[in-house]
Amino acid sequence: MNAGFWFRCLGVGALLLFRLAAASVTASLDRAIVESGETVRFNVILEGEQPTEVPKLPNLPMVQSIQYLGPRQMTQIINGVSSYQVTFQFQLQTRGQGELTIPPVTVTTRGGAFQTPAVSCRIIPKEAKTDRVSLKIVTPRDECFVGETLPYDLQLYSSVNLNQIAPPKMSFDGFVTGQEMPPSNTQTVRDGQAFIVLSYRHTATPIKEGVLSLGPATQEYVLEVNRGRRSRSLLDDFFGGGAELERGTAEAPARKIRVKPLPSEGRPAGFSGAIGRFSVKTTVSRTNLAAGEAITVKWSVYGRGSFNSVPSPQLTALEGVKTYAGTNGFASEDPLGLSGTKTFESTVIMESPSIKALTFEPYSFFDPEIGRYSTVALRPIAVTVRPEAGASAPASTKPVVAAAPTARVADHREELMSLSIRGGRRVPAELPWGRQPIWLVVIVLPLIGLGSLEGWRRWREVRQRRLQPTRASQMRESILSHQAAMRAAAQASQSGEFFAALDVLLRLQCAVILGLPSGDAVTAQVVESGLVPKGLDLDSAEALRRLFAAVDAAKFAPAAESAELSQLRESADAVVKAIQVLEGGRR
Amino acid sequence: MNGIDRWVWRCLSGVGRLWVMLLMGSTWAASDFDQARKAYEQGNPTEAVAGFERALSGAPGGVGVLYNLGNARFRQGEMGRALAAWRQAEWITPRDPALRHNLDLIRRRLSQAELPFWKQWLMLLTLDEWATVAGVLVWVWSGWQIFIRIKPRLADSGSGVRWLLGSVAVVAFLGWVTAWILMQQGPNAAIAGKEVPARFGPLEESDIAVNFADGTEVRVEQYRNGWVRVSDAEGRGGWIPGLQVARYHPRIP
Repeated sequence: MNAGFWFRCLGVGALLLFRLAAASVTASLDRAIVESGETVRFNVILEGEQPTEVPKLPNLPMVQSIQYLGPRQMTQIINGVSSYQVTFQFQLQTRGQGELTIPPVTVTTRGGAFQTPAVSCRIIPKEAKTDRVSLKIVTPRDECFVGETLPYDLQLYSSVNLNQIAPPKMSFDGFVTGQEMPPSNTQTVRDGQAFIVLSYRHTATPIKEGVLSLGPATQEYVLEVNRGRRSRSLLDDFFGGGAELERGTAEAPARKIRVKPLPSEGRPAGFSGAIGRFSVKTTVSRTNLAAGEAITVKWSVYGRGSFNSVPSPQLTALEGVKTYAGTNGFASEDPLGLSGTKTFESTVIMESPSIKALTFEPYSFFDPEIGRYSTVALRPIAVTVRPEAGASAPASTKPVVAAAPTARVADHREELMSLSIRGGRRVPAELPWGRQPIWLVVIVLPLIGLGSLEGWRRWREVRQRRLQPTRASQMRESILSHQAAMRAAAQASQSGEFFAALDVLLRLQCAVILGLPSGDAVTAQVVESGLVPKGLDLDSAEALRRLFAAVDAAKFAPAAESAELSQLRESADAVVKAIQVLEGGRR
Repeated sequence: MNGIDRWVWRCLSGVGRLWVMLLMGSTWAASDFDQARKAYEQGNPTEAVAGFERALSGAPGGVGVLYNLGNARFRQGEMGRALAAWRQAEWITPRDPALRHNLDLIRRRLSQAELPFWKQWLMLLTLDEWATVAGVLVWVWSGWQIFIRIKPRLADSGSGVRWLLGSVAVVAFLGWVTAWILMQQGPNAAIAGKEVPARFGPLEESDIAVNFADGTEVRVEQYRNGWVRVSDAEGRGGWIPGLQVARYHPRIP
């Protein structure tokens, strides 16, 4: 496997990672408020991945039937970057009334499984039969609290093609209008008839209590009516012929909303009008400051509700703490501005070093979903307030007396040393060379040499130790063979062969006991220097010396009598036996 | 004038020009240095900082300038930048008593914990010095060991000195390795700002993970679009603008 293979693997891995990172799944319902019995479109949108199967929807309590309408695929190439999107379209037949929540749906792709976020819409009771073109004001509920932001939909239903539509007109009694969204265009089936639905989403906030009217509303339109004289052709579609235009105005009756006042019981002392469900996060720009310095305290109020009425959290009044209101802002998380984060900033000046923490008033709000007030406690933030402004040390006014050219004098432990009067050593632009890993090699190199040498020495010793027994055993075999040759020569009275065998026998036997590699270096001297110190008895030593002397003499006059040879043989056997006893003791 | 003469003349004139440039550079830098010192003594640390920074980029650009720059920053109340200048000087002259005093002073001012004894001891030598000492001792000890293996009859001579030398070599080697690890893993910058918020991402809109006090020693781990990701000794960290970090050395990883 070469480098190219690994680069290819890396590339494929990076591509997979990119694909996984780029893939996303979302889900949406085409309307937020739907009448019971109508169909609503549920879309699962997958981007950047290829699906392997159609997602399966679970059984939903307020859905009578689910119809899969098929996928819609779209590929875009923008600036050379292609993106692929597939939308799975489902049509849900609703029933009952309440909040319809579709839980996360799993979408299986080649790159893994993804889950959609949960989405929901409000199912409201079914109203009167819808005409060919009708306008409706739909709200999630018919009652709310004063100051609570109420979302509503203005929905235009049409069972025929709409050629033109004018913006709707709507009147309000006791409501303040809020955000609005661009109209959405969708389709629904109601009582077996298909309708085009144009939905306008708005918010309105009641400013007084009582039964208030939301609406009425009107919307002018122009329809394309096919009178049935002939069927429309492709040319009619293109040139606009074949149908008559019919002008009309759709009217939606006013919707009565019962607006309740905020309950007086349980109202916290610090409540100042926030309606919704919120949390608060507090941060400060600094926690370590000098007395008199200003810091910024920032509160982030986030959640869902009427953000117009959300007031700023407050610092607890403390001696020596001054607060100045600053800026605020709102970051919406949905187009209607019903959820998001509202931020408030205040400038705070702490004038006393005795202040150890900033404390905040509890933050209260009215939660319309449960119909009760709630209060969140804000955690105090510890601060350190130094007595003096600025952290710089006082400048020394004492003159430096009798200072050596390079010496610097400290007047006090808490004082800076005086300035250097020389530029000093050059500041290297490069990194210290001591951090280069090659230096580790330089340092370790002699250790490696030492280790290698020691290893080689040990190896040699071990090798010699292994070789020694082998050589000794060979020598022992040789001793036995020469002993046998000596006996045979003595019996045959062959003095030349006898002394030759005796010579080799004695040398080998001495070499074995002395641990020598061969008998070549053995002389009569070893009797005194080697064998006697090893414990050879004196008689045997004397006999050995005599045998060495006889061998030396035979080199000049090898002829000897048979009896003499037998005597020498017996003496040699005895001496060899005595030496072998030594060898056994050594072992 | 033949070809060789022309070549020699060119070389000589080039060297001369280089020498003049260096001389002029050092003159300018020395002038900045003196003016900055004067401004400092007159109680004008801002002008002193500017002068020392000019001198630092000039020809001598010495450790004394770094030291003085730290003093001027300290007088200015910029603790993080003062600490960074002194820490950089410490890498070059770690045993300078004035520098050690000022570093102790700023650590007390910043309420930082006193350095443990082993770190103070380690800071007595620069990384290069540790490397040199360790290298020389290891080579001498190893050479001696190799020699006595070649000449075994000298094995008994000087065994005590050899043990001592070996022990010192081990200590020096460990000292170098520890100093190396400290440089690779330890702090390499100081926070330069009164209370710098470190954020979860390199964006002003990101949430604040932690607020760092001026002079907090941190390690710069990552860069992105003018932001740096830093972490302190306790592992807390986040992204802060690069201008609010004073590096000890521009090339230290």
